[in-house]
Amino acid sequence: MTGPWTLMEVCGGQTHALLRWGLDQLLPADLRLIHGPGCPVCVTPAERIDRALALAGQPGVIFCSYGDMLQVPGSRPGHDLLGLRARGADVRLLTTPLQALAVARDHPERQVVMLAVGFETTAPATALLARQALALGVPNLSLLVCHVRVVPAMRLIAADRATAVQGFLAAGHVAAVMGTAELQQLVDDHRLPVVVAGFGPDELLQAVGACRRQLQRGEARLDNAYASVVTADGNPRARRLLASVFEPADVPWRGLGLLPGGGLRLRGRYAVLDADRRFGILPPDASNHDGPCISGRILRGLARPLDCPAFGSACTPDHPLGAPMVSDEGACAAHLRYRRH
Amino acid sequence: MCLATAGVIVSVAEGDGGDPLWRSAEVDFGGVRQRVSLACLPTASVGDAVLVHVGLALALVDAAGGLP
Repeated sequence: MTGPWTLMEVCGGQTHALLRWGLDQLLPADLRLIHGPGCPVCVTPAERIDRALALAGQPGVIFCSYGDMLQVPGSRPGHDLLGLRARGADVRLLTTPLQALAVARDHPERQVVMLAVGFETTAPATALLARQALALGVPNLSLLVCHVRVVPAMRLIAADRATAVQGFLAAGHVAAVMGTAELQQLVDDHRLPVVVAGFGPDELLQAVGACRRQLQRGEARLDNAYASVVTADGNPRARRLLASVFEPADVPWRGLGLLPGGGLRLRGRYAVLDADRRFGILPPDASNHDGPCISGRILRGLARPLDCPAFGSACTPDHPLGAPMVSDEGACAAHLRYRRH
Repeated sequence: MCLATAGVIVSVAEGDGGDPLWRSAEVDFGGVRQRVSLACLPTASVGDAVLVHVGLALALVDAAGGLP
C-alpha cells in the first residue's frame, strides 16, 4: 500500500527529541508526524492548577513540585506557582518525590504537599513515597494526585472519527513499567500499528521506519523498537507497587475532557494521604476554561501549533496562554524553541 | 516529563532488615552521582546499568549497544 501516512508520537519527550534533532525534516515525503497528548504538564486541567495554587498559598504549607509545573497557568491568566513563590509562598522544587519525605520529617510542625504529576513512568515513584510515608507514620505529608494513564488517551484518539492517526509511536518509558500487554490490546481493538519507541534519534527513526513498513504492508501489530530497555512484561514490581497504592479513575484532561480510566487515585489505606481530603478547600475560581488556547485540538492531533493565531506572538514560553507552551515537552514550546515555523 | 537517564550502579545499600522498600544505590551518571531507590529492581547490583526516572530505578539497560 502507498501513503501518505500519518503517525502520532504520543510522548512529549519524543516530540521534543524529534524537533531537537530535526528528524521531522528528514522524513520521506509520504510521512507526517503529529504530536500526541503525552505531556502530563500539558494535560493537567486548570482546575488542578488552581487547587495547587490554593494549597501552596495556605499558611504553613510547604508545597513540593517538579520544576515543569511551576509556570503552568491556572484558570486565571498569569497565576502560577512560580509567581506565588515570588510573593512569599514556600514552594520547593524537587527532582524526586522521595525528597518530600525528608522535607516532611525535617518540618514536623508544617504540612507538606507533593504535587504528583506524570504518567505510569512517574507514578511508581509517587507510590513508593506513599508506601514509605505510611511505613514511617509521617503524619504531615499529603499528595495532590494528578497522575494520568497514557493508553486510555491513545484509545480515545484511535476511536475518534475525525482522527488522522494511522499508527502510534508508543511511549518507551511508560512501556518500561507497564510492559506491552495493554498496547497489544489497543492493536487488537483498533487494528492499527503500534511501535514502542525510545528517545534517541536513531531509536526514533527505527520506530518510524517500523511503523511505516507495517502500513505499507497493510499490517497492524505491536513492534518493540526499544528492546534495550522495554520487555513484554515491563517492570512487574513497579506495576505491583502502582496497583497497591493507586486505582484507575475517571479524570478530566485539559483539552480532552473527562477520560474514563484516564487517571489514578489513591486507594484503600493510602487515601489518608490525599491532599484533596486533608484540606478540603476549594479554589476561589474553579472556572475551567482555557482561554484562546487551542491545546485540546493540538493534543488530539487535529491542529498544529502553527495553526494557532496566538503562537509565538501573544503566547510564548515566558507568557504562556496554555500548557503546551510551558513545558519543554509541549508541542508548542518545542516548535517555538527549534524554530519550526 | 517521562525522560529517564541511564547510569551505572556504584554501590548498594540494603534496607533495614532487607526490606526492599528501602534498598537504594549510588548511581554514576557520567560522573554525576545520585542516590537512587532500587525498590523496583530487587536484583540489580554493582556494575549494572539502570534506567532512572525521578529517583527510582525502573529498568535494567542492556548495555551491549551502549547506554541509551
